[in-house]
Amino acid sequence: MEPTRGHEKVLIVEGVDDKGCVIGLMRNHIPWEEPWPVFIKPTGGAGDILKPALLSAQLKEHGVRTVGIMLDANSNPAGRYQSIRNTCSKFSLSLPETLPAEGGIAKNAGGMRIGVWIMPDNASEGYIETFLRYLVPDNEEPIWKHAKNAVSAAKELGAQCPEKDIPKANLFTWLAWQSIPGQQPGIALTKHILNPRSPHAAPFVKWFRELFEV
Amino acid sequence: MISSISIKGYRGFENFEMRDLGRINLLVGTNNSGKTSILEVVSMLESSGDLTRLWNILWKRGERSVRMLPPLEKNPAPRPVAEADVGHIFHGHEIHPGTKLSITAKNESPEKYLDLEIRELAPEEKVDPQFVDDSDDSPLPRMALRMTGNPSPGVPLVVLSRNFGIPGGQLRRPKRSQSKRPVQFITTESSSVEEVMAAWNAVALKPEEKLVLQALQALDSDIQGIALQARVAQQYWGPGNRGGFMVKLKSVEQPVPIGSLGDGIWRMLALSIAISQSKGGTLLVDEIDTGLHYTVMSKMWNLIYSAAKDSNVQVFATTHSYDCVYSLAQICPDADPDNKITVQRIEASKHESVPYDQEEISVAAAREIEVR
Repeated sequence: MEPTRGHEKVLIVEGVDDKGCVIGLMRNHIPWEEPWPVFIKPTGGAGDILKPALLSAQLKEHGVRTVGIMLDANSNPAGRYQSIRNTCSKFSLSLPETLPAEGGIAKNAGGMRIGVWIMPDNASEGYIETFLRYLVPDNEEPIWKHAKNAVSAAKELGAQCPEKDIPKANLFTWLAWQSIPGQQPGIALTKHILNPRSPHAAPFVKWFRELFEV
Repeated sequence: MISSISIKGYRGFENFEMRDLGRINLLVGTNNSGKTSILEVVSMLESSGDLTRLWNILWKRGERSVRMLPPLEKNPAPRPVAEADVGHIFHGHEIHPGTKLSITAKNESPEKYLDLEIRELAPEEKVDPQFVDDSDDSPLPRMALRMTGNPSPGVPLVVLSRNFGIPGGQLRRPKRSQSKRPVQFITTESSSVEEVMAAWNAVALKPEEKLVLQALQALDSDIQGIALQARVAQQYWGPGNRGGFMVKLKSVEQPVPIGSLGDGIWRMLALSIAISQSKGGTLLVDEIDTGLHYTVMSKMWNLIYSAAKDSNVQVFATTHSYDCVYSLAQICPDADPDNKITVQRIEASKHESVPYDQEEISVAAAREIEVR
């Protein structure tokens, strides 16, 4: 399939769910209509994004001026950041030595821009679900706690969910009980089931808008 | 193999560098970015400034003129003389004494280079009338094209016509003998019937004929043999035929004209003959995807890559086609590090190409990243 062409701004994410989340969140802050302000590209996961060849090919793509990268910290936020930082340095894109809490942004003399955000908050271990947890509306906290407890109880009964995926289980359990049950997080954000205007979302929104100049 | 090349003052390239070159180098970029110019540059460098090659480059671009010399007293027959206009290969299209262009390849030492410079002939430098068609009595100094380089060019000084053209007569000059590295330059016109027939003569009944047949079989396993049929009353056949190449198919009793098999086979014939003739040298193919469907392109790249490795040929090709880049990406995962595959994007305003190595090419194809 031929690549979609003509976009200057690209955000690389792990998968289509992540893409849905970013669109669901950002459309509440900037107009999100054709021609899309940023082209969001899902990959085959963190393994793909951390391949130096993928990042360098993306930075070399014809017509692209701004590249953003969003991926989960998993258990090694610093290591993942350094790997990206190394590849970027070959393009005279000097990201800061440690990833700042507000996300990393760098540009070079040629006008290329790069940005890095490691979910949830550029410092902690975790995933995008860890981040999304904080977008649960305040009045929903009791139900959220209930969802958390339900997941723990299920684990004790022998549920297969791995320890590292508990944040995801919590989120999807809570989503199962909403006015439209079982919505993907991206839709939940669009429909304000998750709160896109939560102050916890603000740092990411700010990073996105600053990087892509939107 | 050339690993990097520097171009100064050739056509649109004031100062340009292309690095990280490998066994196969596919040049991409917008129309008019200079892809074909780069093929011309490599062709000239690798042939050490061969004058006939330069002439053909100019001739194919239409940078030529034909003049009529005044008729002779004894014989009123027309006397056309051809010359190739050398001005256009210099950056800025204008030439005067001192105008210069320079091509340098960096690979194993010693460094290979070719410089072309316009200069005036000194008064004591005589012009040999048998090689120049317009020797006259004008006191104005004549201009000449001086070629220097390593290896040394065969014709170090080419006297130019009064119009700054290379007179056809200069091609008749004896050249300094030099070891010739084969350089094959295939354009879309080289798939003309005459060129393929002439090229076939170098292959027929030789070991290379087998390689050509294998190349065609990779496209169509039904092909068992190929031959050039002698034609009776050739002059009545007219244009638009495929020169009498016949092919024996397993499934058909009588040999069939190669034209019955379509353009892909014809293009493969031209390409495979060219590869077989470029052993130890360079193969240049402009618009390599011409006439080839995407299903056939991967086979073509496979063939070219193995033949290039086996025969130690360095390949430079150009394309506009996404399918062509995508098909090349399919052979990248298995490419070995000593025989690199690269894609080089040429952008008119930039001073260097954007190189993609085989890993980046693979990833770009898989992740729909536009390299062109």
